Amino acid sequence: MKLSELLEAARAEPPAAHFTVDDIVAAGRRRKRRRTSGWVVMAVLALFVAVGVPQVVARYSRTPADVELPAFPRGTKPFDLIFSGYLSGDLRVGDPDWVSVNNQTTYIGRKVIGVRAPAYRSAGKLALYRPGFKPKRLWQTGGITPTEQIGGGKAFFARPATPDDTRTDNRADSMLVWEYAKGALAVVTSYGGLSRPEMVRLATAFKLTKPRPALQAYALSWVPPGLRLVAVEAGRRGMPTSVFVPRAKSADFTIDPRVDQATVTTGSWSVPLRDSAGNVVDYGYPMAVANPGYTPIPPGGAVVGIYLARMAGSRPTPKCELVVPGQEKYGTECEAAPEGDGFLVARGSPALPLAQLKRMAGSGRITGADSKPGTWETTRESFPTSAWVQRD
Amino acid sequence: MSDTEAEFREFVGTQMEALRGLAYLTCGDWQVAEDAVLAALARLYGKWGRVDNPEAYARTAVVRAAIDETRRPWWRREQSHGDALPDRPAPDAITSVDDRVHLRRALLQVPVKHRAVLVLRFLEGLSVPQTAAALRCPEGTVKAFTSRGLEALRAILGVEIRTEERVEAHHEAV
Repeated sequence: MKLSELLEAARAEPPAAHFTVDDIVAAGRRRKRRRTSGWVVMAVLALFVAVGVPQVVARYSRTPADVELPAFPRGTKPFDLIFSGYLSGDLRVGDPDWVSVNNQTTYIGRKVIGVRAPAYRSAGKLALYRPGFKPKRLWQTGGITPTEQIGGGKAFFARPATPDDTRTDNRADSMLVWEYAKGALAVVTSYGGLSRPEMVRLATAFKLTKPRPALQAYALSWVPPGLRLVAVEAGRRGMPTSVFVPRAKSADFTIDPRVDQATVTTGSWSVPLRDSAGNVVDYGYPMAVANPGYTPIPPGGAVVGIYLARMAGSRPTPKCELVVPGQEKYGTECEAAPEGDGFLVARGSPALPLAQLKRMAGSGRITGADSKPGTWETTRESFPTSAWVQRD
Repeated sequence: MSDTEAEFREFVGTQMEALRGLAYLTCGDWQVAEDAVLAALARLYGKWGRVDNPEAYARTAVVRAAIDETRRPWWRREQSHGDALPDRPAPDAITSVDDRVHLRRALLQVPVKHRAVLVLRFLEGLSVPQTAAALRCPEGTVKAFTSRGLEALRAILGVEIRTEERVEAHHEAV
């Protein structure tokens, strides 16, 4: 049976329509009228917001010195997420997108005018570092301009330093660094389009939340002895990528906010989720274009990703091959189908023995259901303790 | 009546039945499908003349509206009586009607987004990138939903379902 014929048959013999072309034109006219009157109301409101609100706010706002710097959330564990997405004017900050042992990052998008919502364009990145961790060579020490305190914490503008790895796509042109909690730094990085007042506005609107673990819908029971889990993708909704590096490089690992991954890994932003009362409960996330597991392989390390769907070509046992046949320097890729209903890819650097990568891919198993976060496990539970970074 | 409105009316006249069928296959209810088509075409009325490809716009808007309709809470949706009272007598042979009812029931068991992907790709002939753009989701999701939707439909109907060669080629690339 041909599917197109099947679908044609299923929609054949429809009941008579309850509306006519006239009904549609009338509905279109009504909608147009409503929208026109809506714009007039919006224009009046915008005038009030532009003129009246700043005066009221200026009258009642407290001075920066009145605000007390918050403490870092107590009981936060590695790979716990400590903020949620929020809006600031036409800018949108996503939920945490990547979380590593030392920082967590997310995208800042600017609303695209003239396109049906939600459409955002990557404008920068927000990065939060754990207390006591100072990123190395992220900004130039010579180009620092102190600014007013933000949320009770010291703040300054800085010029981004050039990354050590020249292969990375460095789009950063300016940074705002501030202390978001006692002993903990945050950085708003602009990719060329954020003004200084906008960066301050984004930082001022930032709020810490109660820590919650980054969840995974899959687990690995074996990781090569020399590798440590340093980062996981938190914005993939159960189909995340996890990153492993050699133990010697694990303690200082960070997600680099100068790299705009949106240009290669994301397309548009998801529709915000609303509860039954119409309140936004999740400002959404950039929708991935690249498949899970296809982030750059760190030197000496490996990346693993999974799809929660049976895919054509998946196999019950790991199948490994060179990424570029005949070019061993590009590393190896192993595909596996844990329990027959998922598709796992493990990609390793040339330094990682093939047998280890194969064993790692073969140890994967599905632990949660697609689109059901309630069934997912915490990141700590999803990987062997031997893969944890021992910080102390 | 302006020329623009006359063009819009002509467009609706020629496309309405196809769009109703598209919405029905997506949401599984003729009444809800009509609501989706009405809402989508009313939106198109306001944009008429500014949309490059009205057919593609209408198709996309109808499928999205039909998916949205399935998500609306039941208390905000008018109850359909289409199943209880047929709108007109079935004119064709009993076996054909039975087949159609069977097919429709089978399709309704496939999740709505998987169904939307199957309809756009195999009935409307959209490519994977076009389907991804229409549903605002990654191409990988379209491929996964295609695979899962086909698998579900095969399991429900218990028959082998063939797809066009072009689409099979996409599967190979997954």
